[in-house]
Amino acid sequence: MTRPRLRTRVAKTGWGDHRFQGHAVYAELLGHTSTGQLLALTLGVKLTPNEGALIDEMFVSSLLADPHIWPLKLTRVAGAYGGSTMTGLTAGLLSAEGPITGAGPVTPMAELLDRLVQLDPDAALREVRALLDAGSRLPGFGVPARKVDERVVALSRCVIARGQHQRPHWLLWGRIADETRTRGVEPNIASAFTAAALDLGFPPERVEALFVLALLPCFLANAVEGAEQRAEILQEVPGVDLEYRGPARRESSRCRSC
Amino acid sequence: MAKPDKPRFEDGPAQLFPAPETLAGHVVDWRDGGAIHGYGVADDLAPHFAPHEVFLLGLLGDEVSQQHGRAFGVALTWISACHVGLAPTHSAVLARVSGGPSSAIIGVAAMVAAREAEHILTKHQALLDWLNGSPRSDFAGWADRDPRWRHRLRDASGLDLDDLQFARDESSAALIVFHGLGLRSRPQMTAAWAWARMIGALAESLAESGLDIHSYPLRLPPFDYEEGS
Repeated sequence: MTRPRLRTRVAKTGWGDHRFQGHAVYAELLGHTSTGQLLALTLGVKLTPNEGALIDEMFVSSLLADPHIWPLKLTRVAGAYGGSTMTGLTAGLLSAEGPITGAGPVTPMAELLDRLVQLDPDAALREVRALLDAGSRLPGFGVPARKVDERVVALSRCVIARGQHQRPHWLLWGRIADETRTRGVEPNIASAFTAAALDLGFPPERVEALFVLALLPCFLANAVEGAEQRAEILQEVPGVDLEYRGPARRESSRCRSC
Repeated sequence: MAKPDKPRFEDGPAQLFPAPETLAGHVVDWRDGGAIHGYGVADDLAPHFAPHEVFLLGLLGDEVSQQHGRAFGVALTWISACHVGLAPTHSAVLARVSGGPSSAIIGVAAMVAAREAEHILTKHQALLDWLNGSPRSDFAGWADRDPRWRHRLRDASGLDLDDLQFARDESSAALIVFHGLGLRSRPQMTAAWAWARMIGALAESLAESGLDIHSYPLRLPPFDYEEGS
């Protein structure tokens, strides 16, 4: 019986040099590839140096690593016994898949932008208005506990400075943001990041992975420090800080009958 | 010489956003020896309930009959043989072969078993919709039914579950039993499925000898590297 074979575009180990996403690692990439370009190439997208620099700025703009933030706090709690950075990091990243927080809104936003950008701009805006009129919450929109998402402000400055603000997805995202603002809803980093990534050529289904990479410094910094601290209060929160709201003590029927 | 003051940073939302002062628990009581849904762990649950019954009680919020407890154990065991070729166990074995610590192996098994559960539930959505439907007609999702699953449950636990006549394999049979015992939500079913799969996944992966480049079939399957569009 013929065993199935799997195709890959990622990599192949060689002798003396290795292939990665269509390139020789040492002969082609080494010395000619910035971290931003490498991360894009990781997802199969080849960027120019200027575009790679924008990736750098997208990543820095996305930094919001306060350990109070739930998914980041999770890295601290999960890693509280120390011994490994990976436990906290993995736990935190798994939590970033939710529909609202983390990278969850990215794919639906990418699919929406990718579809709407092919329409006439007025038709696209009409569809957005219809969605909002129907009470839909657009993925990547909404900013809790603050007036605006400072990450969006920072990223917007970078996109403009690099002359990327006239690209189609960014323009469309800006029009959508103008519309949501009239309804009191600000865009957050997930939608802005998505628009910028789509304009750089990332396929809609891969933008989420790029956003996770951008969030990685937030998770990793907390996972490293958390594993080092091994905080006892995170290993076990003291009883005085706990509150039980469940059923009162009771006896099972099996116990009663014995 | 006095030390210079540390720089002060303005408080942001994390410091100012209204939040409770305490962490609330709704199921597990830590006081007086511990309890689950109000049933004392040491003096009530431990002497009178098997661990899988405590698990079912935990998921349902109330004690379960001995017959339902036995049926749950039977259904869990039906799907416990998660062998080395299946992703939860294969992943855990790879974690072991890669030299990961026990915590990583166990974590990998749990994570992939839960993902497998979500996949299984999606594959069986028509069955779940039918089970949740009211009134119900005859299940039309598949024709190949195996009446032995109904007999097996009845023989092992005494519970005769009508819906089991529509089971065709251990997966569908287990889901029908879970539903019959009151596990209706996807998170409840995911938890039960993953718990059962951990039995085989952990037994197999922890029996592996550990980091050994010669013991694992490197090219099962082979990957063919391609370039260009």
